[in-house]
Amino acid sequence: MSMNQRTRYVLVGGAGVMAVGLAGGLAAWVSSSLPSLALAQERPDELRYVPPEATILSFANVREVMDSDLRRRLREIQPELDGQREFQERTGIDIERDIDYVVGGLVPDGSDDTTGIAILAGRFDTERLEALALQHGGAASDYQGRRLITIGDESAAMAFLESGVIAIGSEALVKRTIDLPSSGGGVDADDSLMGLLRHVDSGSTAWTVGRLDNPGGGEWLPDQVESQVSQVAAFAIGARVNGGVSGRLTAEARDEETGRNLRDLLQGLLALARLQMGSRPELRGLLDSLRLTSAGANVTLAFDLPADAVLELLPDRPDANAANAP
Amino acid sequence: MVDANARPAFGRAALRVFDLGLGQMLWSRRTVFMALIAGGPVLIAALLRALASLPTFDAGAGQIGGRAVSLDGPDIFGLMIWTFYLRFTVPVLGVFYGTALIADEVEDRTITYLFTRPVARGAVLAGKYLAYLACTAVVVLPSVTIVYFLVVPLLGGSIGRNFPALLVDLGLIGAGLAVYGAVFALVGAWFRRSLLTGLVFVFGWEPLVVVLPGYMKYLSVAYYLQGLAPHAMPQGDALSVIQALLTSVQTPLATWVNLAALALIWTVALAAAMRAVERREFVLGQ
Amino acid sequence: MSPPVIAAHGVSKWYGQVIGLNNVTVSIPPGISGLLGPNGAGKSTLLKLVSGQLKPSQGHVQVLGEPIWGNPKAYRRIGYCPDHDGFYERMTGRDWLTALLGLGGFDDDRAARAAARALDTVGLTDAADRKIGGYSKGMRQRIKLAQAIAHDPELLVLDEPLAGLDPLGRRRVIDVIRAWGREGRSVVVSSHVLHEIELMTSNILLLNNGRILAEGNVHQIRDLIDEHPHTVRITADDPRRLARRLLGYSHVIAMQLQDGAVIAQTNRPDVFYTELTALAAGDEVGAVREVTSPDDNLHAVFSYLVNQ
Repeated sequence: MSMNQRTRYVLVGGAGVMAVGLAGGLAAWVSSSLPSLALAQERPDELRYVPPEATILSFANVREVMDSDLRRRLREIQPELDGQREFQERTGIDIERDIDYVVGGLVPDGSDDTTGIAILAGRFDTERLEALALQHGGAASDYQGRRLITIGDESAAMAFLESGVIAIGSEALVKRTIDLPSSGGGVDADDSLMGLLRHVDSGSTAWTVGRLDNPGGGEWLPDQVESQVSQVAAFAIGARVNGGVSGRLTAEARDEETGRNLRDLLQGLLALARLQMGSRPELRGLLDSLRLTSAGANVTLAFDLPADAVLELLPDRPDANAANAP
Repeated sequence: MVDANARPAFGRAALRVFDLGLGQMLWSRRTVFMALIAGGPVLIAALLRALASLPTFDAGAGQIGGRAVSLDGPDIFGLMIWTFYLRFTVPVLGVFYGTALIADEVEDRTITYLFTRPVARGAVLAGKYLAYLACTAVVVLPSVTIVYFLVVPLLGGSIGRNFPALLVDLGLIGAGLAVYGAVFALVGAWFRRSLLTGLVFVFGWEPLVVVLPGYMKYLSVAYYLQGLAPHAMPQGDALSVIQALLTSVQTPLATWVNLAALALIWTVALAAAMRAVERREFVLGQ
Repeated sequence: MSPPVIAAHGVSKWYGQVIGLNNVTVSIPPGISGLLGPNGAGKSTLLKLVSGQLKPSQGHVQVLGEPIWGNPKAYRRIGYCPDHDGFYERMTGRDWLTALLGLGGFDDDRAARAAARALDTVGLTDAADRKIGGYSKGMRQRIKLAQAIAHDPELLVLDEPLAGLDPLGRRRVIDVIRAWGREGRSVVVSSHVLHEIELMTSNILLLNNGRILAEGNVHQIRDLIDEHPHTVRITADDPRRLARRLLGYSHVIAMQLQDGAVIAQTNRPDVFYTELTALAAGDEVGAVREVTSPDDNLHAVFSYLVNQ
């Protein structure tokens, strides 16, 4: 080797910087990915009651929202939600305290339509709820050892799945929910859908993930926009609610080119929205907080709204300054 | 007496030339120049880091042109990768080193010793080219890595979450050094005023054709590199304008097309450069 | 009769509008051959064509029975020592030789052994691990020769190998070349000093203005040279003392000091060089650094030959 000592030092030095940098970056990347894995482990158990055919799945930690600083600010402005007292008087459920979280799923019903199922976890007075249903023309029966209450013309039903867990949806879907544990499990075993949770930040208060194999309902959009949206294969949105609302929406396009086009489209829409900010000043906080990035076929829109910006967005909100006044 | 058949194979000969040429290249006058242009972004990054540590620094909400701009560390890093490295450092190093692969040996009158050895002249060029790649990579890639760690954590950016983008950036810069180096090795083998030709290509031709409509942009390296850049630029209005200036129109090409185009340019340029060196006479001045 | 080591047929070489070699046809036999001619005669061009660095504009060149241009396989059999002074200055002599031998297909061990042998042959073993940038002019000439002989080639092509050497260095290099010839190998060596060539061989090729003037006729040249005083420029640590000493020789017919160097004219160059070498070996006049010979007198001889 004719390479001299000095040259070797430079090569080793450069390689050393790279090795340390890449090792450090890799360690940081692994540790930042771990919370996502942890989130997967923290999936609510109630996901097993959502049928595996579900294409869209949602979760909301109601208790955390109610305990958040943002909710406290809202409560100062508007001490009580519309109809909250009446709801509590009739059902015995205080939505500020009694509901821990809600899991929901949208399931195709065989035709072009979808039906929904909601699983509520918390503390419920089941007898009072059953009595209320019967009082409004509902019928109670036992199904697979669980109490099933159908309401009205049997299009809606409610079942007490276990202590503190209620399923609400169409009768057929609620019955399917009851059957699930004995017929192969729920959506929590669907890696394709659950895998989308990797786009959701750890500790998110609420999230929704979905696969759009045959997206529809965008007919009201301009043709160009609709054609781009129809190329979205899946999406995930996660948000954390505390002092404000922060999170990100990720769309998985069908291929990289579509991903780029979608990013360009969103960039254009954001630019358009900014142009119109003069007539909608309340949107300034929201638009300023948006950050668009893309990697491969994925396009991500991150947002971080402080409490004030959220309050700005409330329709017909009372004068915040008056509420804060001594 | 000699064994007339004892002659190193092409690859082995290229590695021998690499070994011989690396030290010469690394300690040449150009190294000072390279250290300056690779060290510049590091200094700027350190300055930004120092500014960010000031208590008066208003994190997150910058104002450009009177409009609010949402900008964080990864955005700044992406901007630096594009402006400092991909559009300046990489092509400039390609020009200065690529055109000099053989020209330096001619100027120093050492080419005689290489071209009177029983190795293909193409292997000499290949070895010098490998030395160029190692020499530039060993300075530029650590510079990018250092800038990443200085800039990305600013304004709430995450080193971990953006790490895959760093890998893409490093790969992109490596590809840029390889392709520009091959193109300018060809320019060096073909043209007498190769440095001037190279500079015109980098600072005249490429910036012009990538913004022109039509097919001229396909005759550049920057266009394909641009299509592979992983960073979406910041969304503030003023920065969007900067982005538009720097990246021109969005590329409609898929990643594999950009990669294939770069691979094609690299192969053709390097093969043509080797062929040119094989056929050309290098007459040393008295 | 042995086949020629170099065969050129109708070879011309132009550098743009300038002619370097003009329709040269020549066969150089095995053994030591001298190429004599003034600067610009075409010696270097012919040797570059022979070593495969240049392509003939016209005609063809064969070396050791093979065409040479674009035939790197044949380079393994040739050792070339250029006239110009260009090196990897930051490398040591040993590293440089080892690296070049590696390029010639030697593995590391063989390359190290061959480099050590070549360094010993040219008397640079003590300076082998010093950077070439720190070498004297004579040492640089010798390391150039070392790289030409290190791979043990069949044919040595040496372009002005004695230029700038001190007397002892000249003696050593001449000895190396003569030993090479005694071993039955071939050498083509160029110079513009007849006396230098004579010390190595009597087989001389005269070249002027890109043409071969004569082959092998050394006696006529000898007589002509004797009619034209030979000029020698000597750089030494103590030029005045050296000049005083040289003035004592009867064959020195003129002497002057110029820019710290001694310019001497002699009508017996063979005797002059022998006595100068003896002086340099002793302590009497201090170190003699460099001996060169302006080729004015050779120009005069060649003008005479051409006009005959």
